[in-house]
Amino acid sequence: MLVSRKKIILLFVCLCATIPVFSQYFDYNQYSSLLQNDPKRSYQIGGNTNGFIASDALNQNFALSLVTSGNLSNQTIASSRLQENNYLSGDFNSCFFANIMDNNTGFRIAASTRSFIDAGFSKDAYDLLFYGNNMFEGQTADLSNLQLHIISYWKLQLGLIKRVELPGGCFTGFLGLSLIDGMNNTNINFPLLTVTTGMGGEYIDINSKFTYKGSDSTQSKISDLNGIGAAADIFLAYEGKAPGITITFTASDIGFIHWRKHYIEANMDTSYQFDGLNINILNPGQVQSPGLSQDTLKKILYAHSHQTTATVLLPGIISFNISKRISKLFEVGLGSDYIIQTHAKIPMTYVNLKYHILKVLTLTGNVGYGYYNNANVGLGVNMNLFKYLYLRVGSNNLFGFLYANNSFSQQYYAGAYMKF
Amino acid sequence: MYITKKITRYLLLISGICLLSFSCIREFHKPSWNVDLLAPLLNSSVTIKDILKDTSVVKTDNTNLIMLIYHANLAGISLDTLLTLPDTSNTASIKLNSITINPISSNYRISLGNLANEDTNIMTYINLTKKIPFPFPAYGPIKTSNIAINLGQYFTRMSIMNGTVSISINDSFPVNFTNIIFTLRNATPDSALVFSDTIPLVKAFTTLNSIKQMSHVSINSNLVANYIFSESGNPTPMKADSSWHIVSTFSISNINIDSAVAIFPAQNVISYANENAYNLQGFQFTKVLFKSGQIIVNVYNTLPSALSLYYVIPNATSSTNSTDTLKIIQTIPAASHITQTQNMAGWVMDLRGIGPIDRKLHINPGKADTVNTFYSIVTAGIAQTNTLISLSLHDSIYIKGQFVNMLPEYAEGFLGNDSLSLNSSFNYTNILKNLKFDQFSLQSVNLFLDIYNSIGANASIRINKITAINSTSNISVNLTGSLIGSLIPVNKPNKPATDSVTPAFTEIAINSVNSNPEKLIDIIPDKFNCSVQAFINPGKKTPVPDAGTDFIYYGSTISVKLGIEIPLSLIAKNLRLSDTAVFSLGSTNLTAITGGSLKVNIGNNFPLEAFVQIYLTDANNNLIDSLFVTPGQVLAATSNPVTNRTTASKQTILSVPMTGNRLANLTKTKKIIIYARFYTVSANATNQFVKIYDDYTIVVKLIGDFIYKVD
Repeated sequence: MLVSRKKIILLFVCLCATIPVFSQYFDYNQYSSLLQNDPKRSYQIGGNTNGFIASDALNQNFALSLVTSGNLSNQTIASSRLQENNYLSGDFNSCFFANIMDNNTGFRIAASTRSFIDAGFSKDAYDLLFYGNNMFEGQTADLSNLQLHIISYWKLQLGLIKRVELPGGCFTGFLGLSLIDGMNNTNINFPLLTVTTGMGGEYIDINSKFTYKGSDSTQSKISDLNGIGAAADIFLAYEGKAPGITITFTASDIGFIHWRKHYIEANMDTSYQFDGLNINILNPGQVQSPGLSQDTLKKILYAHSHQTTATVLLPGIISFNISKRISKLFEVGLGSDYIIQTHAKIPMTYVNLKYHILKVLTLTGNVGYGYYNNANVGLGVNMNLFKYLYLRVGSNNLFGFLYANNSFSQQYYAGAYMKF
Repeated sequence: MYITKKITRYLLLISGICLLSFSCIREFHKPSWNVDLLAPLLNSSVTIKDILKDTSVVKTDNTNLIMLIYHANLAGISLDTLLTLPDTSNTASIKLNSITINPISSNYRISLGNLANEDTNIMTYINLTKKIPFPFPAYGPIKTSNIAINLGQYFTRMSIMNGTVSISINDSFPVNFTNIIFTLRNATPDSALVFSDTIPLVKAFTTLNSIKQMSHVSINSNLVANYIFSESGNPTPMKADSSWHIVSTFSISNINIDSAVAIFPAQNVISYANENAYNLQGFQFTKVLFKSGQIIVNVYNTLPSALSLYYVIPNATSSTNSTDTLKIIQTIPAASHITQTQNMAGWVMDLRGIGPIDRKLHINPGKADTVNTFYSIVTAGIAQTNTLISLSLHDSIYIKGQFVNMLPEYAEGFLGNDSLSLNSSFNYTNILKNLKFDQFSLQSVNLFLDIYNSIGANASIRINKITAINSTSNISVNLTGSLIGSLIPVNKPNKPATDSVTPAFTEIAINSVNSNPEKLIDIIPDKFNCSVQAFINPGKKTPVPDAGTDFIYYGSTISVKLGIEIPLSLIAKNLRLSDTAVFSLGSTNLTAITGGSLKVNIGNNFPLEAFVQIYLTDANNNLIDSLFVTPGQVLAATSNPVTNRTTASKQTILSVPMTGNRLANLTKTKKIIIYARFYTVSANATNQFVKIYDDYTIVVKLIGDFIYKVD
């Protein structure tokens, strides 16, 4: 039975709508679809979602337990590989795009959302949070250098695609300019934070210096426009006919957000000792919860803060990849990705092997190392269905599933687009 | 492009499943985990004052030993009822003490022609000298005809007590007149001689004045005067001159009359002063500032002329202006009476009589002062009468002065010797009343009387009886000892510079040495009956006037308070106390607590061992749970055997397991009942009194050692 093109597009849009639910599974090379364009005339519509999470302390079992099962068992908590200073980074992107190419020139329009997190914490901070302060009885837990940086935003991109035929190959270039609508930015830094638990739990001393900069998370709708910014994306690719080398360079989210309203900055240098609510034991009356509730913390924060504006750089992403077709079936590649503003010392560098099993099916395997000394082994699948439907899904670290306790990073990707 | 229906359906199915089933994956599960928390929850520091609750009864001595102090006002002795000055009235019938009248005068001229008519020799002389001068012949005595004098426009009749008669004779003749006899008589019918005078000589062309006094004569307005005189002649020939004359003028002045019907000039007819004394039954006041009262003056004027009354009390001045003297000025119409009232509030009266007035006016400075006496002056005058009226020194006015409701605000002097009795009873809240115990003994009890004297006089107190009563057990005990029936002196306050008196304080200790106060407290009384007598200036003789140094303000009292002082030095065995408190967790959420225990950390600085149980009940006192399986034992602090003071707190930790059942019970709890049994623990002997000091505390800390679910 024949089905009209309109229904096909509708089907595809529905399928693409499901892609965000796979947001755990990400691929950074969001511009790889540009290389699939027919330079004469083609249309592409599709979606990508990708991301990664990596840490030098928290394994994938821990991360998965956090986001899936909800309950962290003592075993899971104890499986973390803690050092004096520990880091965690995560980046999650979803994108919906449309490319139009006509005679080597094209345009791209895309809408995407991104959430980025980068955190640093001490071993004592982890122990205090996940084990409690009983183990610190009579001691001081040093939580200094506790850091948290979260940023999320919407991005509306308009870009120009240009393909140039060169002797021996072709060059594809893309420049996209984006309007950024910031949703949330939180930057917390504790250069000094100690929590002392007195013997027998008779008191808790908190000594801290911290700075806070952040937007009002309760006002983060797109229409709020608390932060407005701009970013530029560049994608450069050279596809050589011989010896069949493809070199790509991607720089995305090179830009900033200017937080213009509902943005506060606070600095505090404080000490606080809590030894319980003071009551008349002979007439206790109504006992309220002691300690620091969320509301109390907010009040303390707002008492030491002032409204301000700020311009914050986006955590840009730099990617580089070079691949070479070594045979009809195999293609090898070497690449490197790095997200600016993480604590990762080294970029994720990988080698991959593509096995073009069928014309419509390619398996990709990769081995990589980087970020927080994470070693990854990944697998991906690229499918070309019905000539105009392209699907990609994969993980750059299967060990994250199979050996979750010993794996400390994960990169997932998924994408689908239709080409006309 | 074509696509099979089957594949289309398949894709739709996949999309639908993804949308439906994976939409929830976008929403992460909220992570949760259990942590082992050790955190302080509550802390409380309890002193003896918190346990006793009523801190008004707690004080400390110089060693910080707790003393329970109770005070009760026995009574206040006031002399206000005795202070009121008795209503006094003075009446006086005051006669006129001086009446004067304007001077009266008349004159008479005798010419040469008048003489010729009286004596032919003079006529002959006149005829002779028409032609030639001739010496003036001597002649006489010549008696003039009756000279009528009518003074009816001045008076009709008057009785003169004394007066001054002046006769002036002006001789314009060239001859001396001798042996001039002047007589003045009332005209008929009585023709009584009023006055006569003989002037021996008036020389020619001179004037002679003769002044004489007259007294006790009655004269009518119609008088007859006569002159008898002689002349000595003049040998020098001269012609008679018709201008020759002699003029005689007589006048009566400085007339003080006894009675008259006359036209009187304006004059004071009454001037009267006297001292008025109060009978104050033992008080000797030298000075009084009045709080209230009135002077009512009634004046009856019997005279036929209006009377101007001036009533003044020089001793009385305004408290705001010392130069303002109390006076009543009023005009009383003829033959009528007036009543004038003066409010005495705010007036100061010097009650030392006339002495201060004399000293002020430098009159009789040596006159002795008196007491309770004031000096008053009445002056009354008449205006110029335009008609003839009758006045006599026998006439009088009637004055009645009343001093009513005279209440002093302040008085000085001597307050006499008075005694007043006080019988009173009072209830008081004895915190020991509800104690239950197997043994409870207090080492000592002090009773004392605090006497505050704001009456400016020496005083004494006598305790007749003090009885302690336990109204529940109906047991009573009387205070005995040397104090009962003794006269105890009370201090006199200092005289203040302003109107505020600082009461003099006297404290009388009633202790084991002079009495039996422990016996009274042992019955744990809730009521006292007292009989006390107060004496003012006991044994003091009445001083000489103006030597008294007492003073009193209205409202001053001698107030007597009974105080009970119980040093908290005690022996207690199984002393049972309980207290119920409202309890509510409010919005505190206990569901996150999944295990662990609540630690009650007690630091006890008291020399008391305690066994504590805490019950949880609902609003209707139905038992829900108890925190301890058996009552938690709280150890007593360590005491120094020498000083018997605790040296260090003793720490006790009581653990309360936080099971699910207990947490649920805590949520339902509306009241907690704390039940404690105490035993005193001394450093030495078992049955030794332990002292409770102000700085003893029990520090209670609630610490949560929980398994807490972080969500």
